[in-house]
Amino acid sequence: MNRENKRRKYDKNYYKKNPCTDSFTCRNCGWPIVSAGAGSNHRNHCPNCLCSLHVDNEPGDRASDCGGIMEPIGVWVRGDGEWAIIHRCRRCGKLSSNRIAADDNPMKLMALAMKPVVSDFLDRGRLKEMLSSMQSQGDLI
Amino acid sequence: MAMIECENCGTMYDESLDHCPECLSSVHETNDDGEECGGIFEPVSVWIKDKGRPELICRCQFCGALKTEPIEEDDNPVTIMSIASRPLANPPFPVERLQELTDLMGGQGDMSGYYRK
Ligand SMILES: [Zn+2]
Ligand SMILES: [Zn+2]
Ligand SMILES: [Zn+2]
Ligand SMILES: [Zn+2]
Repeated sequence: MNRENKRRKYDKNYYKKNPCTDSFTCRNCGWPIVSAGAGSNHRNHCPNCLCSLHVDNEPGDRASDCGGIMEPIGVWVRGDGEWAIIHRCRRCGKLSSNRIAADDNPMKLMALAMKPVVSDFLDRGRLKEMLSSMQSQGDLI
Repeated sequence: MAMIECENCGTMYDESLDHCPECLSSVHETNDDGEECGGIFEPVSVWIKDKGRPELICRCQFCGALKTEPIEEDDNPVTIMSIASRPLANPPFPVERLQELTDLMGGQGDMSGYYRK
């Protein structure tokens, strides 16, 4: 084992301090993932399907033994206007927020943003009633 | 019915509810380590859980903790729609080039469903 691999194995904060440069295949969709070129130090999700693995407790610490697939469940707009993905572990339910990367699949990102808007979970009838009560003039006294 | 005042918007609401029915915020009482936080849990997104049940995704403004919780029958619909459409209204790339940008990276997924007759 060379020195760098040793540091990776025994220094639990290694990936907090060093960009992850490993290449691997996405366990969810099979996409080949090269860590470089993500535009950030931590390529923590697949650029194609946006899934990641539950390996961290805190971002980059590799301290979790769960190993479940973290599914993207939504996006939100941070204070600086950037989007971040909310991931939820299929196995244990753990949630985490991760900044989007420059090479993330725009179609999958947009699908996450569209989903709550397209699924009409609010009662259409109640919304129409509300709209007409919003528009009503009422009676002048 | 005991009422509490929302720490975010001042609305008085039934304390048995998980969040304020107007602004949908709540208070982050204690973190995973059992320490007190006291930050405001702000609703940042909406997601559809299994069987179409809508839930809020909330993030603590103070410590960054995340939680999900069901949307209630009488939660303010204007607040919900405003939260749900925030990402769409602030896209990170030109939306008109969505298909083109996806094709460029060879990514999966397309918009063809909409145009199918
Ligand atoms: Zn993938
Ligand atoms: Zn997990
Ligand atoms: Zn409130
Ligand atoms: Zn907190």
